[in-house]
Amino acid sequence: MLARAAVGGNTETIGSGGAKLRRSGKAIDAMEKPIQSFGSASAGAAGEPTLAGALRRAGAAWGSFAHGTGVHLQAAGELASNTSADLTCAGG
Amino acid sequence: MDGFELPPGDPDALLSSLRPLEPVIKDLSTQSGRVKSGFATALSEWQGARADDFRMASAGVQAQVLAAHDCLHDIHTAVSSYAKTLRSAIHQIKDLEKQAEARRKSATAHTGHGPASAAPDPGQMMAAQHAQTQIAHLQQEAEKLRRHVKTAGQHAARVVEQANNAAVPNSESLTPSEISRKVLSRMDVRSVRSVSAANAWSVLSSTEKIVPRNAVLPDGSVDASKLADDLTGKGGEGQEDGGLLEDVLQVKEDVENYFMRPREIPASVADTVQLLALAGVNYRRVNVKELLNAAKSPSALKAYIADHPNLVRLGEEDKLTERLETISKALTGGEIEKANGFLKGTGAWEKGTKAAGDWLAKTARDEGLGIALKGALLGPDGKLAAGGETMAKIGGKMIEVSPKISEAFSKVAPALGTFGKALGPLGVALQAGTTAKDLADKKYGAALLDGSQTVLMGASLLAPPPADLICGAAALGIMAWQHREAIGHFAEKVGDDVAHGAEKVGGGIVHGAEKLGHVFGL
Repeated sequence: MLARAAVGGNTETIGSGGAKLRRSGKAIDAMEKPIQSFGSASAGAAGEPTLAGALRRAGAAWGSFAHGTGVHLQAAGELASNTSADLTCAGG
Repeated sequence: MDGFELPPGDPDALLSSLRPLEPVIKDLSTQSGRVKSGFATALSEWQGARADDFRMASAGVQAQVLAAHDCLHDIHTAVSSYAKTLRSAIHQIKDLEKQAEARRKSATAHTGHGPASAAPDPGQMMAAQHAQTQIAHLQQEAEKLRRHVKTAGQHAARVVEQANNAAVPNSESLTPSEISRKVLSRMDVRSVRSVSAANAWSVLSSTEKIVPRNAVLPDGSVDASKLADDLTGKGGEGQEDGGLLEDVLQVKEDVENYFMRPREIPASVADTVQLLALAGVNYRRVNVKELLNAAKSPSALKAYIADHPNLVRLGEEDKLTERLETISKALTGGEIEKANGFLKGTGAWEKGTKAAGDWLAKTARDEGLGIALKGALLGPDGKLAAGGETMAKIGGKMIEVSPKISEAFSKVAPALGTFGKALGPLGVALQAGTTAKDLADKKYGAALLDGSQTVLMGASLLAPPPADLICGAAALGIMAWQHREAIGHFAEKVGDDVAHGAEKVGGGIVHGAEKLGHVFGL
């Protein structure tokens, strides 16, 4: 099928960018659990109470941050990939 | 044996806990490139009204990926370093205990030879006392190691907290579950069950505000120099409020690139321009753009200087001298409580640093102070000034033109010599060198702190009261905080007090005067 040269541009190219973003989104989203585990495990071994507290919070903060960033990338990928919907949705 | 208790914590388990983080950090670096490429590919063909929104979101998401990478990397480095310190201390304390045990056994063997009824042998008694002294000394060594571990742990905690605050401000006061909720709320993804074309724009809405519009390139990446310009007020558009990664954007690699950019000022007049800009902003007689234009030729610069006869003045010297002497006396005279009181009582740090930050932000935008100080980080060849040479020259010139300031700093310097630094223009010079080196070494967290100190010390010379007082004392606080370990070794009790007070100050600067970082693009 030929790429559709829509008002918004070549949808096939936009879609391939979107696929990359979705893949990165999933990869970064999957970092949430290892980061959280790191936070709990390191806090348990730290000894120094202020460091233990900071590490526990780091696991929560950066685990959630990775999840949020993953969701953002999946949203960006969705917008770019779903060419029939996104150009309408995007006003292109 | 008493006195050889091991510090709490399991260094091997701590190092093991870091292992799952290592592939995450590596993969974030890889993903950063893929995300950039994905957005660029999509934007290469996407035209239309919302392509621009997508571009803004692209820059924001790319900043988030970089932030996650940089902050987790900092956390990894800090924890790894602490774990090694802890492991080494545990080994050393165990060794000290073995030595003490051997001394005790040896003394017991000597004193236990004679008959029980016999009078104590003076030689044996002396040997026993000697052994006791040696054991006490070993116990002191062990105590010193435990304190060193504690200090290292607190330092690592500070690094981790700073990183955490990039994800969510004031995270210290929150529980882990509160932090998770807050992070997801700020990112507008808390209630997102699944992503679809219908909710994708609302999911991305927070990312569109992270990077200022004029710093976003057509391919959706961040224009480093425009970002730096915007942060220093040179750009036409102010930074949009509510950016999630304000702290991190200040220290990321893009900003370093800005510092490395070649400048247009000829080498022959570069130092003069920097000095004039630095000194002149106090009297609001310098328009930095005019100055830089004039600097394109020595003759134009000469004419500019002739038109501005009062350019090189520093002002408020007496008041500054008095205040620095107060700090100096308190530090040198052992009146540490007074120093602490002084530092704490300068007007509630949070409030004070905010006031100072506000003043600096305004002045930098109005007068180009930020540009002047940033310019001072560069050598005449447009590269980062090696070892702060350029700034040292400026410091020297400032001392030349202001004997009172020179005198004030010469009084303060011995007190600070303990920590290996000097206060005042030369201190500013040295600190600027440190900042430059931190940037060159890619130690962005350190650059932020050193940069804040540099800026604050510079501001203490130039700002009107009370901002000058606040900035100067705050810079001193940062310095003491950075050197708390050395202080601790030098004078235990005193050092602890200073470190305790200064830690708050150091933290307060980073959190309380956020605008400073924006102004100076660090």
